Amino acid sequence: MRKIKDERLQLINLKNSRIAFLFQMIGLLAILFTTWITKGSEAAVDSPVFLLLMLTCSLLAFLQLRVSVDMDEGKKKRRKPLPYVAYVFIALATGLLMAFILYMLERHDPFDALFIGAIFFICSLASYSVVYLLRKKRDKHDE
Amino acid sequence: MSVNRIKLARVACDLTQEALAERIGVTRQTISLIEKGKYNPTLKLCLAICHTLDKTLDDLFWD
Repeated sequence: MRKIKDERLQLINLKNSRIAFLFQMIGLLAILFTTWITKGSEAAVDSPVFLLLMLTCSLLAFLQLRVSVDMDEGKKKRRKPLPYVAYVFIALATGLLMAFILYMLERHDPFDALFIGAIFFICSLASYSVVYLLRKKRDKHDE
Repeated sequence: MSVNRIKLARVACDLTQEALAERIGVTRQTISLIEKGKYNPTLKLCLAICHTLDKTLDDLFWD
């Protein structure tokens, strides 16, 4: 099969791939739904189709990271960014809150609760740090 | 109309749709659709057409 060089045909090809992907997704969801109805939710989650669906969604989300619009509104409405320490405190509060909820309400082992809290802290801090860096970079760019 | 201008420029260069398409690296159908105004080409393709027909973007595509 020859490589398509014509941009019009490439566009058509892309559209066709999108339709095929959509069809495949609907098929996967239908299979999972049928498994869920007939064999229960555990069987549906254990099925490799579920893993494939999750991996596809993760891959799509990862690829879509570069396809984004500016979430912040105009310069007038934009608030002054918080100092980085504030983000660390928010992340710490999130982690501690999760550890507290797990320990007090779910009756988890204290070590497990702290461990999960620490994971929440790291994940929150990582995402806040990315947002902080992006805002700082853009503010620097705007000046 | 830019549609006819592309065709006129192509004929003036004594090129068929097939020959022009081959030089640019697209299919004949694409050239046909551009001439009919049924396909909106990218700037890259517009430039390729202009270079091949020895015309400017203004000559061929500006209304």
